[in-house]
Amino acid sequence: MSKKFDLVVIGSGPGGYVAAIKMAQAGKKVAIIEKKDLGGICLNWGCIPTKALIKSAEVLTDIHHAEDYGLTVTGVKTDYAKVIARSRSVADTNSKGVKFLMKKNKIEVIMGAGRIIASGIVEVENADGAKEIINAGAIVIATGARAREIPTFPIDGENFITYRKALELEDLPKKLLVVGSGAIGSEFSYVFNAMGVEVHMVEMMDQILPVEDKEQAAMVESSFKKQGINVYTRTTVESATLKKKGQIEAVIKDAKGVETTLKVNRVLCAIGMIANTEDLGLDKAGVKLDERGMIKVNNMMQTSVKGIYAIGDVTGKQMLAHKASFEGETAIAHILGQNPHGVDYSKVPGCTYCQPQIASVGISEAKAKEQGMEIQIGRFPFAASGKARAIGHTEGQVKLIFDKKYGELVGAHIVGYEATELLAELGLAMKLESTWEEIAHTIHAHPTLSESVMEAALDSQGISPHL
Amino acid sequence: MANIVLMPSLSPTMDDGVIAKWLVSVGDRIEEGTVLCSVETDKSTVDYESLDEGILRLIVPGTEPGSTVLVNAPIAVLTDDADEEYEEELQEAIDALASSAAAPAEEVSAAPTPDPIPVVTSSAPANVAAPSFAIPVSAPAPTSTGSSPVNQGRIKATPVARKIALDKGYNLADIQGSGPSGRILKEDVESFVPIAKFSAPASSGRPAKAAASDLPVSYGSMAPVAPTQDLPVSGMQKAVGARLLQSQTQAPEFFVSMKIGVDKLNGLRKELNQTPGYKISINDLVLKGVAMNLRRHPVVNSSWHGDFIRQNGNIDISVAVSIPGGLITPIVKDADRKPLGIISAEVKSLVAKAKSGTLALEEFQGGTFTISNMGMFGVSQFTSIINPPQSAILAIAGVEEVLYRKENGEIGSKNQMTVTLTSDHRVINGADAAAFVNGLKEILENPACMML
Repeated sequence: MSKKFDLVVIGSGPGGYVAAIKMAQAGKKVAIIEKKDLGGICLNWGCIPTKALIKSAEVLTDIHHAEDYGLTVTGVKTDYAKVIARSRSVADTNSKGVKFLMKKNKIEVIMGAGRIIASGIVEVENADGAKEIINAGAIVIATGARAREIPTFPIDGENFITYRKALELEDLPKKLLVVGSGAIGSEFSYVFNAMGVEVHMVEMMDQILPVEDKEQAAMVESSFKKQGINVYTRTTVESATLKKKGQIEAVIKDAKGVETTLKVNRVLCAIGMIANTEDLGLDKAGVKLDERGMIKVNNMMQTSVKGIYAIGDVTGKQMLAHKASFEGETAIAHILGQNPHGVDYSKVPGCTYCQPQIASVGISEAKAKEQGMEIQIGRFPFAASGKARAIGHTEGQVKLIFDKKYGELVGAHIVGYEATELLAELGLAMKLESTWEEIAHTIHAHPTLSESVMEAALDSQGISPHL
Repeated sequence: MANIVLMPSLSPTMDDGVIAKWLVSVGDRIEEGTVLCSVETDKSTVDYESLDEGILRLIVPGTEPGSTVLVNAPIAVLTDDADEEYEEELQEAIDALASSAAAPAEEVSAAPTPDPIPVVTSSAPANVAAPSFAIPVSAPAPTSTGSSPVNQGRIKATPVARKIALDKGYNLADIQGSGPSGRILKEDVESFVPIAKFSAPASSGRPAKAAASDLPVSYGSMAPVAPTQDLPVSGMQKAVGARLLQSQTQAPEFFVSMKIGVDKLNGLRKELNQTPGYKISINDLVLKGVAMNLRRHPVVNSSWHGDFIRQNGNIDISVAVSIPGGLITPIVKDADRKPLGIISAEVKSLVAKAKSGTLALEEFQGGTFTISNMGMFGVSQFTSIINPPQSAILAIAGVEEVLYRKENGEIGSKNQMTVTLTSDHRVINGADAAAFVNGLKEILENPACMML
């Protein structure tokens, strides 16, 4: 007799494993199907290992700036293979953590590829090709996404790579072309540049970090240029030809149509992600996709088929781990009949961990104006913060956008050191529908970088005492 | 055996209740008399004692503290043994509720005190997670449309929700929150529709004399001339009723009457109406006089908001208009600053819109003071019920001819009407009310001042 579960989750990334645990916590019987690594991309090939790499880059940068702090450091050597090894070990530890959580919550982990036969029936095919049918009260699809590729330069894993290989290759190219300046492109550009690689970052749009507020992204761009990264906006890669192993000639074209040839040793393609919807039996089961190839869901994460839910990157919108986890919780709450509030996609924070970091939640200034909203903006530059000066990180600013009529916080944008950590209070403020007053009248400890958040709220009314 | 615990009906008028607090947790052994939870009704908070014993297996999702739950909706499940199946019985209870909710007409004759805990016998083991649990359990009761204040005590609301409510003149106590623990969110305030307001119990306004056909056909037989009927209550009647009850039970009201001579007012009206194109009514003149008087007595032009009193800067006068099946109060905004001709034209247009049901939301929402005029029905005196969050309402009765002794001792006659101010004592004191009606008398008896 085939096994029966109240819930079967396909994919064990931060969406899938959180959904599985939530259901198990409600006393239900849960199975999770994983093709490769428990924890999915986030833990193994995304969020976590990249943060480990970035830390190495930051430590190296700090050492180079030791003189600024009155310290002399000599004999600095970069052993990039060890940097990669550390990153892999951090990822492994995290993956083991997920394994432990599955065990603790009595969730059955089934290694293999999941395929939906019909609502309530999933087939798992393991690495040896053996198939098993399991019954599911409900199904959650959490199969994630993978790097988008373009025909201009087929990914070969050595000369032309995506983030996946960039986390494994132990050699540093002399010169690197990074195509795309979103979170992935910007983070790797920062890391490789810090490691001594000559980096050329190409972006088609008129700003780097296209989802971020223009003013904020411009601050990162100018800092990148100071750090030595070659940034090209409104520029496309016309061709990239492999001359011989490790020798690539790329032709890039700027907005005026001027073409430039770049000779590089490697190309990192970071132009976005596409949903993993193949070979899941979606077609047969009747699960519909949207025009962009993502699984179509409502705000309770239900697909077009009753009893089948989809969460995370495979459903598109912001492809972020925390969004996936929250969607997982929402789906489970709905399955359990708890009548959850749907996911509010306007309040999903986004963080990019290059230095300076850039983080935001809510809408940009341009978006607010596009919506015809009357707004008040408050800014506070870290150059005016005592703490920022003390720690030697004065780049960037806090920029807060408030609706003018009721003073509600509608957008929060931070560039600077620890921007990603500073953002949290603004996410909470937005969730609680706070206005500039609640932020301005919350006593922030001195000296902290977080004071800048309070000051920016005051500045929105023109009453910051420190500006 | 599984016992499905239902939301009890704790008063004859209770349609739903708010779970204030659960005092037990899943897994607890419940004895007869154990307090399961406390339930807020429109009147009070009541401890709900279990009538059965067993092990608490489930607190039904959607009944978290702060949730509004319909009467007879399942709220918890007790079973004899810790591992007994109960899903099927629970589903039956949910279905039963859903089917009764689908037939609201039955409510009229519904027994007020149903057995709160119907006992359903256990049957075949139910399957896992029934995803349909939640559907009707927390069915949003129509609280936001005005059945009694939803919130009592500390009101949880987000800062933006508070600001919008203040701006729109809504009472947060009336708004159902959908956030955690019933917190009122921006969305709740934005989607809140204050019910069409009321004022006096204006019925059909039947003329005093009965037509011949109204007389009983057969007196001798004592047979009933008309059958006793239970008529359905319309949504508007429910909403108005709830609102009136809220006002009557919450506001400590008092009444101050004043007789006001109207001969000069009538004279002025006739004179004004000689201007072609104008047809000013006594009501228009009174409205204008009230507006002027409110400017002089700002205390009366205030609203009660629970933790503060708002003295309104604008003078927006709600005018009670009787419409088929209920009444509505369109607003003449900034009445103190508008000339009579404009007021007259606006009232005519608002009344026409009210009767045809085409008033825009902003034309009947808000208002800082209400007048209700039953002069046309020939009543000699009446009182009205305050339209919350306003603090006062003026009832204007019909004009009567009275005899009086002139200064020279002769008997003369004059026309006068009685106005009665109903005030909320939390906002207005007796002296304020007296000053207001005296001021009004002063203005209306010397109506030329309104032309200034």
